[in-house]
Amino acid sequence: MEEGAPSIEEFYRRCSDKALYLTRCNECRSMYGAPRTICPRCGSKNLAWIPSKGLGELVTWTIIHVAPPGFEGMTPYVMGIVELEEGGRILSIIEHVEPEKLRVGLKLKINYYEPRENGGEWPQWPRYYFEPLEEKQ
Amino acid sequence: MAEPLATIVSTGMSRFGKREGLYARELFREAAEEAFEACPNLDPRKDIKALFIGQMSDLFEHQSHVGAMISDWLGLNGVPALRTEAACASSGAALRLGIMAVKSRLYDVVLVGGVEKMTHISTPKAVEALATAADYPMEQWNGVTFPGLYALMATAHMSRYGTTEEQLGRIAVKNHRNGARNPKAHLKREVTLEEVLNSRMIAWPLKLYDCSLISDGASCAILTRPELAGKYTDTPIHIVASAQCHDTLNLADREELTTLKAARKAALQAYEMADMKPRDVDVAEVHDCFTIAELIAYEDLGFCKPGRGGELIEEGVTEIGGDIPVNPSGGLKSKGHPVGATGTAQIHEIVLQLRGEAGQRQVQGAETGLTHNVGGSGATAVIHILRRGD
Repeated sequence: MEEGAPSIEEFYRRCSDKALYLTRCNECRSMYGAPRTICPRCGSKNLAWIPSKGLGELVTWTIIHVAPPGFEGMTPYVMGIVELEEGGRILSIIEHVEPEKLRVGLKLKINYYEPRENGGEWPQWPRYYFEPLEEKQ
Repeated sequence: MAEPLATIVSTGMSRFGKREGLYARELFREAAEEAFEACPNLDPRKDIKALFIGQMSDLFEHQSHVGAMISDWLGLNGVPALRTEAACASSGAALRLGIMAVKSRLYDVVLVGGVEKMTHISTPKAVEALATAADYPMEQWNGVTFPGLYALMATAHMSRYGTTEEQLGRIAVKNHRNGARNPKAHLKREVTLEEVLNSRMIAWPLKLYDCSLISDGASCAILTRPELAGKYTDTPIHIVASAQCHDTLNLADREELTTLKAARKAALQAYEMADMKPRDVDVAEVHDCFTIAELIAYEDLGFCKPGRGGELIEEGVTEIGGDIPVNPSGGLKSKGHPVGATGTAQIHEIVLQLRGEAGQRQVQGAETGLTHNVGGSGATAVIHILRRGD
């Protein structure tokens, strides 16, 4: 893989620095939330990191009542797919939002959870979340 | 009329449900035994030349090396056997390998099938094993569950088309009504719309009764070339189309959230291969892992226009006796969803329907049937079209 190509490890390393980077296909201009090295839409290998301001809108959502291991203490919690201003979508927990306020187009911004100690096991990835842009307590 | 790719001469299915004390190998033997007994002219040790066995996860039984395990347990150690994995479409994919094997004339007769043993471990552990079909770094890591992924699609469908929780609930009601007539179904019980809507929330808007079951079970089919089928059966069922497509593993990277593009593409390929239209389908078994998945399948398979799935269920079109009966077996919802077994269990049901052997849930006069088997949140779709051969 060429130097500087989007990768999962680098995506999360940048998240550790509280920086969200999206992946853009330089051929068909498709944007992706997930780092990748071949564009699934056009097949191009010319993909590049695009810094994101971390601002976006809610596309769809759910409220998780039965959680996977490690998330049990948080239920019920909101998860959504967020479309970033730069394009590209990302799945994330949505914090600090009343369920009745959820709607398509709700303005959101990214934030990051405090890193958790896990004894050095893989993966050492941080976790991000989104929250309403104007209603942060 | 399209030339058959391969011909099914026999099928079998274990009872689905909580099969305490039985493991995958024993459940698979139960399914295989039924297929062998229904096909007395077949000598398994002499005639079967290869095995393709779908199974999703070795986390359930702490057991990989499933091809060898199944061949061993069937007394068929002299032939190649291997496991296929495509999440919940694992045995749909196994069937495709079987078709390729006989169509290429490499083998005359092959056994395909699938199995999953799930109920002996705790529900959280089973749910965790199932979640491995989702993208790990982008989805699992961020706290989503499988019901959660389908709930994201449900909310998108509701926002875009006005689809309602009641319409989703009606799919559960229909499939339980059908499953109550299937002696091998896991939950042979009718449910009311009120029960569905009042069941406990799993991932809003999906409630317990919008979700398929965690089940144990196995299923299989025996295939050969069309011209050899007469040696084994008087009621051959031809496979006239087989298609498999994929989409991004990560749901958020898809262009649309209200349709499974992989299923739409596979359906188009399958209809073209079979030289037929959606309206020519007499009966379908679709992948209702969640009620929203069946509703989206109506649209992806061309049974109605995009966004009209809710009306289709309300109008009763997909009931047994409707224009396009869907999931007469009870579907994953009521028959059960031992994930690896589901693809060939759908095939088993369609074979019964086309042979007129489906008892109380028989779709009258069915001659052409379709199966729609989905892996994960739609990163895999496998579609087959079957037709009576006599």
